[in-house]
Amino acid sequence: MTMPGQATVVQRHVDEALAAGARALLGGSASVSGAYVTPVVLADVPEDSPAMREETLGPTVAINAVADTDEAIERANASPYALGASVFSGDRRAGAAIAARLRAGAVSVNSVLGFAAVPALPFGGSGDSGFGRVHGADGLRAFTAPQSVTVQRFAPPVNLTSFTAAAAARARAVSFARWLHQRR
Amino acid sequence: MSNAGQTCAGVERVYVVREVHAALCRKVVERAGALSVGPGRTPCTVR
Repeated sequence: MTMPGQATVVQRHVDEALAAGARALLGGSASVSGAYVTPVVLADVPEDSPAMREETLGPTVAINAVADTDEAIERANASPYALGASVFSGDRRAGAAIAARLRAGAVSVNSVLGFAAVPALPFGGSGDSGFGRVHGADGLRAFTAPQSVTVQRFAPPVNLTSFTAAAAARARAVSFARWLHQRR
Repeated sequence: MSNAGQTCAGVERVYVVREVHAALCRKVVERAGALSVGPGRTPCTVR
């Protein structure tokens, strides 16, 4: 691990998953040793475990079985994070339709990280995984700033920003604004 | 699991339909179990 504290994070994620009933298919609690962590593969990890809810950033992976595509999408989206995702499907169009239902900032169908190889595609995360994009039109807009300009075409009949406006004129302006913005 | 999973690109969780869950797990364990782990400058860690 690059940072000493990260081994502690990985240890906690693995231990809490196992304590909650997950199965270790490869490695386990002993895979974390000082600054080194050997690969860990977990299965049947409860969805509320840190390994599923938080960013482990270690050589671990949790593989959970789902009944169908809808359940997979629901579980994948039930996270405050939404960085990247991969969809694997025998039907490319079905894969793209699944991708459209994921909250992730970027999704590759039938590959991993394919979106990162296409400079025209905006690249970045959604939700707690970040905001803003690089690459593509949205990436270029990050280097721009909106500027709003208005040009007055005629002077308003009542100067509402002055304390000298007559009370009656002010009341007319209020009822006009109410009429303008009322629910229709 | 490159850089011991310490990149944004590292996979965190996988959802797979039940019918192929066991088969996928078997393959992932096979590949992950064959990884050489160690300091990044050690030749055996470069694949």
